[in-house]
Amino acid sequence: MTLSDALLLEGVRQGDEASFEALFHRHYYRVYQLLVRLVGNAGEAEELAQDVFLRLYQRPLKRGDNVGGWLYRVATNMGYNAFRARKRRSRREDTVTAETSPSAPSAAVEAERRASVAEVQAALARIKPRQGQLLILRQMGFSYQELAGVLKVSPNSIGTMLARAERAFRIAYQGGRL
Amino acid sequence: MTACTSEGELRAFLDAELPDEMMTAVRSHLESCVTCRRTAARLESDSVWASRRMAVMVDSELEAVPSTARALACLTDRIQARPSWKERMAEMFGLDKRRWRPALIALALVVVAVSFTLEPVRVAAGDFLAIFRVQEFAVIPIGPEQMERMEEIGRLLEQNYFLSEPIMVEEPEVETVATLDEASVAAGFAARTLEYLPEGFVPVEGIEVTGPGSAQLTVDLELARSLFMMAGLDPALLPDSLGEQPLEVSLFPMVKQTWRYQYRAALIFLQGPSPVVGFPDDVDPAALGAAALQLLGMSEHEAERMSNAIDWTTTLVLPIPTDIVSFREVVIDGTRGLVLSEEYDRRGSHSALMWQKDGIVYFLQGNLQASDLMDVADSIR
Repeated sequence: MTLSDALLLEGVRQGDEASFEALFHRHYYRVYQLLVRLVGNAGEAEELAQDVFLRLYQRPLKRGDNVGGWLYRVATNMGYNAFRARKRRSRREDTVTAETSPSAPSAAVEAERRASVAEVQAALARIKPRQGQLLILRQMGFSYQELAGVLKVSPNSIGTMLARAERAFRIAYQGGRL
Repeated sequence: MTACTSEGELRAFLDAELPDEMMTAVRSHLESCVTCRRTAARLESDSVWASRRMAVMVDSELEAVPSTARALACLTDRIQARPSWKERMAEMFGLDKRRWRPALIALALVVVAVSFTLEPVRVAAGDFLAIFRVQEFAVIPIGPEQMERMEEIGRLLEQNYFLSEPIMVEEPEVETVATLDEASVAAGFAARTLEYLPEGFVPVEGIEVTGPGSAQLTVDLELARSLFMMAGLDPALLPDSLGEQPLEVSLFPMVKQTWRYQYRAALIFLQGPSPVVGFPDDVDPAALGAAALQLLGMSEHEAERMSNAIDWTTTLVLPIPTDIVSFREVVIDGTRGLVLSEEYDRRGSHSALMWQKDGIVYFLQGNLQASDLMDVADSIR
């Protein structure tokens, strides 16, 4: 039998290491997946994913809180912060990276992929963070019920929110006014 | 023909996320309604378009997640290597430059204030009337003998944290501008700078402006009350209203200038309106403050006397471990301020200076002795 998140959270609140580990095993992969999409770098995503769980360890949530929802919300905020910080750094380092050109065909393909990812990330950064979060989580296969848990809204609102987010993303990507 | 379907329902229909009977009803409606068919086609087009673009973010190599067991082992190492409560306090007050996180200083200070003084936070709705805004700083000296008690409280709070992790509601945006004038425009107040810097200090290009933001904290009232009882304090000092809705912290724009010495950031100057926090009007700040002071190890009488001398609605109270940090009140920029300093054995000095003037809180910290930092602060214009 699998224990529910709520029961495991209760265990964490009482200092039970096994409950924390069970929550870690249950949610780590998706938290990592979410972060890798936001930051596009495996090492950084791993580190941030650990930071998310470290917070959970240090400050266990209240009884009855939605652990998954909290983890994905905090992960999204941390991912966005890391992405923004990198954008600022890359603005300063533009001159350096512009001189680095790919030398092999595989590098050219990779460079092209990275450019496409950067375009998507730029468009996501232009829309509301909540909308970006919704699009990424949906793309990762979250159900409406799960999305509602993360965003703390009724599942009935997800359709409307998703429709608006997709429209905003398209407009932002195509350089239109939001 | 049945009534038209809402956009949200149509979008959920496309994902087959409606209950069965609604799926059937929408399908049958679409057969007869051209308008809804058009809307559904547009929604589907947006959805497919977004999904195709976002597919590039999925990289099979990156997605091949490293072993969860290894990640857990790394995390366990980090948990075990965590600094002591005392080290973390020093860190919170910006006395460890390696871990300094200036963009969140305002929030961190508020959280420190909330955690240690139980000075509760603001205005989610009309019920929350009182406002807390930093106008003054006060120090509660924590001697070595009290540190043990602090460690205990720290452990207790860690295991039974009665405040949730702050959730950013409105994430502050950070932009970098070239000049002070641009920073003033972006921040909405006249930003100031420092004219005198010791030899070798060079300004780092770009001034960072952090936009407004807000965060929410929730209080686990039951837990907070049981902690009070365990500490021999009256749980009724915490009114019901504290647990009824999330407490909000509002952050206002903040300007950050940095100077480096050789290759390292060596001086940071932050300025901005105080974050506003508030608390329900049935909280008695002085009584609660006195309770917090008792938690910090003061006698009931001493705590009461000190609490009555502090205006808890305008004073940011910093518990300072006196064996690692020295502090004194100073006059700076024509007003009262507080300087904290820490002497390293070999690595030199580190000091922090804070004051409030005309509604703006200033925070200057760097790898300098307190008197040198004061000279720098005196050159503000």
